[in-house]
Amino acid sequence: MSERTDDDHKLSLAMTSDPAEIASARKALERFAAARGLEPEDVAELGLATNEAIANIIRHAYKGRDDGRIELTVEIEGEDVVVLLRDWGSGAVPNLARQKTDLLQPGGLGLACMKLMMDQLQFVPQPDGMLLKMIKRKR
Amino acid sequence: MPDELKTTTDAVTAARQEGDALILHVRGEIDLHSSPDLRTDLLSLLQKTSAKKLVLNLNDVPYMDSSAVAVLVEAMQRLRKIGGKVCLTNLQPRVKGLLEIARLNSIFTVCADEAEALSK
Repeated sequence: MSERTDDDHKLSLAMTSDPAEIASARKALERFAAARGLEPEDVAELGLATNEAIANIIRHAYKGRDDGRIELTVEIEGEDVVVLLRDWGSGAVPNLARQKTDLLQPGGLGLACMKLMMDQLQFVPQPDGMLLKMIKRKR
Repeated sequence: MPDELKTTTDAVTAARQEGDALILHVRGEIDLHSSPDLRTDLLSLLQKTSAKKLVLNLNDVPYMDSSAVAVLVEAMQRLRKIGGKVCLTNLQPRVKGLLEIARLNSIFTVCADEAEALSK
């Protein structure tokens, strides 16, 4: 995994779809957000939502392959924290309208967490994959 | 006397059986990388012991994601079929928060510690 802080407001991270890299990416994001004065609750929610988003990319976009490319960018824009996740996987768009009704059935919890913890979630299909844009407003 | 049991992964650091209860100490941050280890130990020990109550001490689990929750749900579904249950103890704030978000805090039996879990 390679990490770069372009300026005081932006973190860029390149990783593979190896699940072993999820924790490092989450912690880099949490450190970046905490150092910029975000509330601990916001930091924790950003971390979990991003963890779930990366896990979904690994499971669904790359179908468990561990050598796919993932780029994570986190940017502070005024009162917003903008998280961008780019992958070069299957390009399938998850159904955001789907509600998790049966709590005991597998699947859908990651997306449900992302929806609950972020203020905006947008999947932007790319010719060669997907761009996920998540926005969290600082509390 | 409790029976100490062998575990095969780093996710479960200690396991013992007391009567029909299987008590496991789980350790570390559990995400998509480590949840398969938790699943392996948990399901094999459940099968080996035929326990009806699973007590998971999560004191040393500062963080878990939905893949870990899925393992807990799978264990609970197996135990429910035989009239058993899963008790979670010593929850750390982030884990407690996730279970609340997933609305699973009312489905699992959440206890302050192992003693309380064993008495229920």
